Amino acid sequence: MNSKVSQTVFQQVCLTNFNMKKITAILALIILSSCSKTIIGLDESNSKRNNFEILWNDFDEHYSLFTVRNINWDHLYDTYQPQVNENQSDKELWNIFSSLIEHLDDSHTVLYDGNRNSYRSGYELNEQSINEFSKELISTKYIEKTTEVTSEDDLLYAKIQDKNIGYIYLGTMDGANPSAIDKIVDELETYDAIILDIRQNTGGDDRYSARIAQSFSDGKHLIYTVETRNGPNHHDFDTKTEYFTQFNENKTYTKPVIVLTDRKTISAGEIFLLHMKAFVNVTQIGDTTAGDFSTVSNMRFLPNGWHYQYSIQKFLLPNDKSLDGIGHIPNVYVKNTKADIEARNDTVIDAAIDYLFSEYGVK
Amino acid sequence: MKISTILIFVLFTLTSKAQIVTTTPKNYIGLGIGYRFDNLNDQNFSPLNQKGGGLFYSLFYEKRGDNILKLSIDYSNGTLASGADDAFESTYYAANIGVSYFKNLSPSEANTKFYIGGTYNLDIYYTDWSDQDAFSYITANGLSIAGAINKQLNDKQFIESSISFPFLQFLSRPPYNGINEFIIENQDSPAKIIFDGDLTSLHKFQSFTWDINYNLEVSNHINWRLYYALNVKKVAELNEFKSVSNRVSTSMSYKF
Repeated sequence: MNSKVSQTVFQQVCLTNFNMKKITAILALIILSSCSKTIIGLDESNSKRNNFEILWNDFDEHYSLFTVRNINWDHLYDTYQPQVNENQSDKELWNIFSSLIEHLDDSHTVLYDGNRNSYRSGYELNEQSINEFSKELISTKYIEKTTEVTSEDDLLYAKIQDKNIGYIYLGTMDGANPSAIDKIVDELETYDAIILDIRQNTGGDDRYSARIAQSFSDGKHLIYTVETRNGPNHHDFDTKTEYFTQFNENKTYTKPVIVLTDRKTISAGEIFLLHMKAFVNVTQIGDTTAGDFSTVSNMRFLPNGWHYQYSIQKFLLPNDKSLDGIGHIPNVYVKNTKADIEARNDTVIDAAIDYLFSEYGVK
Repeated sequence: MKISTILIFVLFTLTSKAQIVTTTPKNYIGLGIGYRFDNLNDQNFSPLNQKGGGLFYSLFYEKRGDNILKLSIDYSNGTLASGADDAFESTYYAANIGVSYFKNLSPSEANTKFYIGGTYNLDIYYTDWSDQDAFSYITANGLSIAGAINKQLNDKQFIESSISFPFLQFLSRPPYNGINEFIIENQDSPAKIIFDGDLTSLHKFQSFTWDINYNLEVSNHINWRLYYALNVKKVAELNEFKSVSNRVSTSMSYKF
């Protein structure tokens, strides 16, 4: 390589380095001077008052059941806002927020502190019912020939001991294959009736509920409508969507079905009941359900790290009445106590067996 | 709508005339990697500002003669933090597919060239907190008008900068309350949800992307690029969306 060529290469490298420096400097300046704050706006203040304001306003602009549950949200602002001050502890603020949302009596409304503590509105009776039900008691005293359906989240079927009655337990409305219910119903068809137990059903997917109910359907019925809140005023909702029971005329179960419920039968579990109660051969026995039908919102966030969810929809019966805050009232009301369970008695199943005998002669 | 029609006509005319090529075009195919720094506020997702970033990857093809044709696919994912002590950390995924055409307005021997052109872009952004306990998205899909300037530093180096403004876009965002009957019914078909958009107005959706890149021809067939882009988006509706994204990347391409 001669010296001229070397010089040219050297000059080119120098030029490259010079340009590189300039470009790097320009890029750094651009990045540093990007005025994100101007466009995005200032961060929300983490003051206690501002956390309260964000929470209250977010509910005011998005929560769907003020009218249905007869809540005066402005009045609650006047009650609780003056109680918030910057000197109080987080625990005191937590108690104010909890008291505020408790007025909604809506267990779809939950406040989380991010440290595994939560407060669920209107949950006292639901929580109490946990001790009024025992799967272990059912398994050991009431059922036999039990099969657990492993593809689903909490589904089993069996035979009631010494009776010609099938039994299904459905603890949630979630799973990989809701059509598994068809096979279960086929297998239980040899019995004279089915007890379908949805006590402690935690809800899930409404479409799952609809598919399970299809196996017991006697036709296509309009059962409810749904509107989602879509604006800042309490009466802003999108157009009604109508929902019908599903029906497969080649696969229907026409024998008596007793659906067992309790206070913790909630959400998609209650949607399931909307389907089932449209069929003539279905009777609800047990306690009134939770009365919380709406889809739950996305998680909402506060500057202090707390977060929460609430109801965003309004479910109405075809007559425009709402069961939110009321629940499904059973045809036969019966409820276990904690003492019943401790004494190894499930009075709800007992009542269902008695009802099947007295109404249909099923032994 | 009249302005949109005129712009489409102008772009179409420019594209048609661009068939007359006076210099031998060079083709580049390349791969890039970079980092993006994001600041955003999506009222549909959270009242809180979010900030963060993540790696992004790009695959591109360019045909450079008198005029320039660019095709690119970008993908990125990262995390965004918000709240006191960055208590909330969400994950985001972003993808962009773009086709741009730039018509040269300068003499072919000029050192500094000016271009005007258009871009088709599909821009998808999805964010999710704690396994979809909260989620949001924005999809913009449509045409932008663009301009570019190219400065040839010497035989082996050039700097290029371009800017684009969307003018005809289909925009998709979650409904007012984040979820509605349509989303519930179609939750197993995410594509159906994120493309459920409407033709939006310039008043509602404002955005621009400005980029600058430095190119060095390392050898006859290898080109190295350093790239910076700034993208600003604003959707003016009840649940406002504002974002500022800075991206820095480097890439190698093969020239043929």
